[in-house]
Amino acid sequence: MTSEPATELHELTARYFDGELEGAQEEAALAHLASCAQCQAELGDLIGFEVALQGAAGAAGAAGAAGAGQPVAMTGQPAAMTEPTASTEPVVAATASSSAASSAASSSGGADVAPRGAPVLSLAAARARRRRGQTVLLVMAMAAAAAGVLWLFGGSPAGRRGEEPMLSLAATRGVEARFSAEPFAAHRPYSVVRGGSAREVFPLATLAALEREGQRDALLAAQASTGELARARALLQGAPDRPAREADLAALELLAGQPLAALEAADRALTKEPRLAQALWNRALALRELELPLTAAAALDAVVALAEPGWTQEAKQKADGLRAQLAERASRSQAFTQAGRAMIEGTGPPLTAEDAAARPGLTRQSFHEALRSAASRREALALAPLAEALDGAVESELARREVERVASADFTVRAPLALAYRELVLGRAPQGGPDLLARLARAPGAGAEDLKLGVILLASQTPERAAEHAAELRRLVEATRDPWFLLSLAQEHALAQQRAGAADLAEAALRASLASCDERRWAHRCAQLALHLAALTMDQGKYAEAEQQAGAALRSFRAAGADELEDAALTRLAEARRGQGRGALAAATFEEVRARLGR
Amino acid sequence: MGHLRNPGERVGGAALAGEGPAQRLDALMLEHREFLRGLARKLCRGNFDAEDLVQDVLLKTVAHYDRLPEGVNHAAWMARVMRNLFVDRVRARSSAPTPVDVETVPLSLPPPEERAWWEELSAGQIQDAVAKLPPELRAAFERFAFQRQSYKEISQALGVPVATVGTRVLRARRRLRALLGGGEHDE
Repeated sequence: MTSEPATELHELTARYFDGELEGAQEEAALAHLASCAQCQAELGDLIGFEVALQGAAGAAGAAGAAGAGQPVAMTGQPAAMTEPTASTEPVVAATASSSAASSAASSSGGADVAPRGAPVLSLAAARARRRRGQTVLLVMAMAAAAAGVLWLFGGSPAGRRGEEPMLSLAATRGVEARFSAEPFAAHRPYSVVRGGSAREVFPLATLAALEREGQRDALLAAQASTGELARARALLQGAPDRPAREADLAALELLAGQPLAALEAADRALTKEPRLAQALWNRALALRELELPLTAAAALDAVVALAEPGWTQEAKQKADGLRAQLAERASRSQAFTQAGRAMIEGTGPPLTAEDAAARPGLTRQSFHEALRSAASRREALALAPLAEALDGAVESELARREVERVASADFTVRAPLALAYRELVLGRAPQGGPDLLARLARAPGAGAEDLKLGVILLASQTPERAAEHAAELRRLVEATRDPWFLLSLAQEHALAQQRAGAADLAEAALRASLASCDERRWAHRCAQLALHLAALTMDQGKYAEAEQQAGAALRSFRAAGADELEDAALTRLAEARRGQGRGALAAATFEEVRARLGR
Repeated sequence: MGHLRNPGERVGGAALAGEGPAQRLDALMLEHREFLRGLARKLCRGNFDAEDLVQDVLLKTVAHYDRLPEGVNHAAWMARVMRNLFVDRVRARSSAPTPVDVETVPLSLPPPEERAWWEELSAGQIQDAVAKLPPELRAAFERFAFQRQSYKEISQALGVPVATVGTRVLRARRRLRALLGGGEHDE
């Protein structure tokens, strides 16, 4: 910076803008500005700093118009703290008048103001309202309230000039997790915004003040709420090792999409302070994100028990929601099971195309049982629509052809056998398997190979029987040429090798089958293979792979509404997690298993 | 006015009661008016009518709302309009010859597609840049910008002449401009 007169003149603009000039100097500054392009440009920068410093520069553009949850306090000065000379009128005049337009044009010193005839703000009204400034304070306060500004501390809404609130928060929060800082302690409803990225915006001056005054926790929460996760995390460095620090870390991990790390941090906090609300809360969210809904609900119960205004209600709502969702699933699952049983029994209509779409694996299984149990041509043909729905999903005609084959059988021979099978599959003749197999052997021409396969599959659920019938099973399955059965054969094969003590061969066989399993069409079978592989790798101490396979099976069964298999996969997952020494996660997963089974 | 396809059509008359742009605009103005007022007071001081300036800016925004690019930083856009309208007023008052300069000729409306270097700055970026200032500039600037202290208050706090404070604040701004990608002004 030199002291040349021209440079000093250029500095006048900034000093004018900063309010540091007096009468004659102001005149000189304006006279210079009028003809100095550099100062005119620099005035743009000065204004730019004001925009950027109000903390809204990025957010305003990203958020567009102020929407729900967008704090008005992002403007440099809180609305209600400005001097009472403001408008009580709506900003935009409801009626347009050409006279108002021309008055606007003339008032602007000749600049292009608006297309002639365009509706405009009424300047006449604007001037008139300046005479009635008394009610302004109230109106602005109401506007602030309407826009969702909550003044937490640092003075009243109508605080004196220069006494800005330390931290003003929107009436709703954009981050679901909880922070330990005092200003964030009061409950604010969580507002989920379209796109899922509701960000609070805080004036830079506020953040600077928090930093200056060493309010690290509040600064962390504010930065995190703004989406500045790296900055927030940096604030944890060197922070005292307190439970609150771990609770805040849990919140940050949640925001970063790391629920496991969040769970571990929350658990560390709770070890030292079992009733720390923020840790309990964040732990519950982490469990929910880890897809352990019942455990999450139980964790939320712990928050409810703290009886904090607002938080209790939200926690209860969340817990109820999670439980209701599972109850709803369970009830639909139960209805499906009953409908499937009625179909096999012949006491209810066949399952529908909707069932086939929602639970393809279980529906296919029930379809085959029902077709084997059909005691007449009519009963068999009644399953044709379901067969078509199943075929449609896997782009084949196998089910329909099987219906036609069974329907064309001689039911004088088949009907008694089918009815015996029905008793067997419904569990009414638990010891009837060998007898039925013997009867089937005496009727080789009855076209009842499908019944034989059914009996052996039912029998194969015990290892001894499986070994006994292994060769026959293979023959029958290969004859179907149906991937549904062929894929189950892979599992039988692996089991046989396991029994023979060749676990490595079994594993290789399962891996090969899984690799070639068409996930899109035969997800149920692929998941069964994965679950089997999980068990096998668990036995060999390969916990990480076991976890991966069990997790894949779990997701698949969950998606296909196979609740019992989901339970099995979840149990396997818990074991695999325990095997890896992932204490918190394993414990939570076991808790979920217990909660599911105890339901 | 019916032939004009601008937001005024929807803002004016009965359309005001409807959903859409009118509400958006209302919200926008509610959101930014106080900022604009503060800015206008800084510009106008006792020399121009600050409220008129704000009204003119809002009016521009009404008239051009539909033509603003999506995702535009509205506060920044309106601030640029205000700067242009203010310079118009200053020029008109002084009857000074208008300098022929590409940056200043088309006043009043910033080209919508053009963004000023400061428009997309986040608070964090400014914090980072401020942290890189030499200590004496940083001390003056932080007090001035964040704590809203006057030159005189800063001068007392730092024990330097008022003129020095002014110089430091000015130099801090120019450094920041350079640091934040706005290029260099003459210093």
